[in-house]
Amino acid sequence: MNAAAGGVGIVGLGKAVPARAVDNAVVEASTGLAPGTIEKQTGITQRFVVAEGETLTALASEASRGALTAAGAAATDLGLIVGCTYTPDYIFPALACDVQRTLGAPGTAAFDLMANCTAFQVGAMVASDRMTCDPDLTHALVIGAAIVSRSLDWSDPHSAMYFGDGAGAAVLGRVPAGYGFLSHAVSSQTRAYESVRLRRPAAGSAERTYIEMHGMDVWKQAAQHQPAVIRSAVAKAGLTLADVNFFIFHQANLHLITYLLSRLDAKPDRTYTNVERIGNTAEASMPIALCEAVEQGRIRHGDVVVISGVGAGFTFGASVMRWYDPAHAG
Amino acid sequence: MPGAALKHVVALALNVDDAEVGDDASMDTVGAWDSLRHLYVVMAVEEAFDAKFDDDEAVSVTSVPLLRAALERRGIATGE
Repeated sequence: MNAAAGGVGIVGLGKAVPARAVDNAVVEASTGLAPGTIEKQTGITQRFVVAEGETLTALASEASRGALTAAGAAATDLGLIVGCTYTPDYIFPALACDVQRTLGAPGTAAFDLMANCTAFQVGAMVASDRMTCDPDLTHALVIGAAIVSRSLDWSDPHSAMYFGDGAGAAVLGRVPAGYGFLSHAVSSQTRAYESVRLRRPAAGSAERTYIEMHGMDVWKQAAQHQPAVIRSAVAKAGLTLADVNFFIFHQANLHLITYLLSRLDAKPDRTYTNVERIGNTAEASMPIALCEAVEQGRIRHGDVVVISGVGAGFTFGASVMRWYDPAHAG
Repeated sequence: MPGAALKHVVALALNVDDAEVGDDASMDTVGAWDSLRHLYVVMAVEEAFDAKFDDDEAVSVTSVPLLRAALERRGIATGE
């Protein structure tokens, strides 16, 4: 990154979750799990799911408007929109294109990428790299959004207990040198490729497919490889783990987050969690958590912040940034 | 917890009686020792014995014998 030319950082965040809350009692009844099982195994107490007719574009657009407002930017300032999702309303065209026309940003480049639950971090990497290469880009919008509830077999305890719907968005903009994104790292370990999947039905089949999860492989993958990608990103930034003020993890499971903190020698006060309250919102989980942490003053100007996730495949990612808050930049 | 007995530490992490964690206890033999509770076993053992497993090792030490061997490789007595 050309520091002399300034940096690229997150300058505004927004979020949206559906209105309808579903508590554990409902999911435990549909899956046959004993009362209390879900909270004990995951830390989750409820999740929010869309109503019939609600669209991902609507959720993503609401989050995007919030991010633009927080950034003090207009939709027409955007030079790039990256949609991170596996659940666009259509198989194609892309969610990002639908958000572009909904926000009113004609001509703005828009495309989707898929890296599942770590996609927001990957999207932020792509957008910040694009902005670093193209000085004409002043703002980019990165959206993480998912309507997972429509991909769930609500009688399957291995998947149904975890997920909720939501959207989060970040506006990236120009920040002073030394602030914004400092490094990124992504790696994919594909040995357990089949462990979390949503298969397409066979051609001509009337089969309805749902998310399938092999829980053992999921935690093993995350426990084994996510700390490494975080260490790699931190080292690329020329920093150590002790320099990191705050971590935002993909909100998969409260126990996994506790474990990650342990691997990174970090106390719980160096992270923010909302998985207890909204479940695992897949691609939306990191931007929603980051948005709430900033809103609550948990992240301050100058803090070194790491965002890190793991997505099916499995793809692991981490980005390191020095937080820029113009209100406190002096 | 200096001098802690390994099986007791594992039992505490799994929230089961000590009697459920025998010399050869593993994820296959203790019902409560599921994939997520294993994360707590690793954290508890590391804290009790002042040890740090590497990331690959941490997900592999899924039995009392494997935990004991990993600690003994570090010259740490398991109190049993």
